[in-house]
Amino acid sequence: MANRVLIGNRATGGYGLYVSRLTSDVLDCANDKLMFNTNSGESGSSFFSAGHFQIVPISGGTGSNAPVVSSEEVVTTSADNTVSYQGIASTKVMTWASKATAYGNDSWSDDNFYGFGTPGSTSVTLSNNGVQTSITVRVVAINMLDTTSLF
Amino acid sequence: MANRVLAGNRSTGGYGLYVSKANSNVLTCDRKELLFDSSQKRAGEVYAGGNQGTIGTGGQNIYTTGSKDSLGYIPLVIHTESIKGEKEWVYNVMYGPWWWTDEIALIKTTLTTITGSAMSCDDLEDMDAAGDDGIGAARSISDIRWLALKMPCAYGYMTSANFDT
Repeated sequence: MANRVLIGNRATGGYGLYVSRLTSDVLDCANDKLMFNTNSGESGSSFFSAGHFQIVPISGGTGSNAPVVSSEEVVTTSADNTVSYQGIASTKVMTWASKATAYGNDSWSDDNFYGFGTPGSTSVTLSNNGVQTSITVRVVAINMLDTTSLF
Repeated sequence: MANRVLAGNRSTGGYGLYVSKANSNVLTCDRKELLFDSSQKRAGEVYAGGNQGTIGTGGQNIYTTGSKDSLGYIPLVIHTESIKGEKEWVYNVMYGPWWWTDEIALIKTTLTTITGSAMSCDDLEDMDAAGDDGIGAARSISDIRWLALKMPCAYGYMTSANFDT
């Protein structure tokens, strides 16, 4: 069995906490074979990760309150809904959604679009830009980690 | 307070590093209560991301060029843009709508780039012809945000070589 966990001085990366993937030796494997790495100041071939993929709860997620991870929104034509979420990632949020049901391809349904505004620290505007009387979408908020143009 | 961090032998998972959620005992909790679990084959690590007002039809390098290497596989990219949703077009009075998609916000990914892509198919038989992959012309994207995860997401890459080791 390979060495999987290292708390100490790694040849590439220095002192830190490292966890390798299943069959990789944490002591000397390539950086892409690491599942976790506390190394900082990463660049070039030593780059490992920008951070953990994390959902921002719609509500809850603090203390003993279970997180609510998504929200179902019904938005009428040409209207806006305000979708709220917890303020744990400031404005570094990406909101993502999918329609609950397709209008269908058996009849002329035209464009049934929707879109988000720029996310705030605890809410974002969701607009119905299509022709349907109302749309139902399921929304999740994702921690963007950063909002620079490339990171 | 519950045990939160274990570097050792867990009854479910074996030797490794585990971190549980608040109020869950890392020694015995269900796996869904773990924030980090080294026995899992792929963790949800974000390798790169971006935020652009516009991406033209030439596409966009998803990495900070010169400071990040390619992962060696086409990664899973989660994105959002100004417009999402259904689209139907090229209506024919005899046959009804010809092209329809439940999601207009399509992107094409490569090892290092993302490009907005329109849907297309060449006939009424819904992409039955060889080479008719449904991918149409490149399109511009506005107000896009994306995250590239360290997970393979392309034919030929979603294998044990990339997931298991």
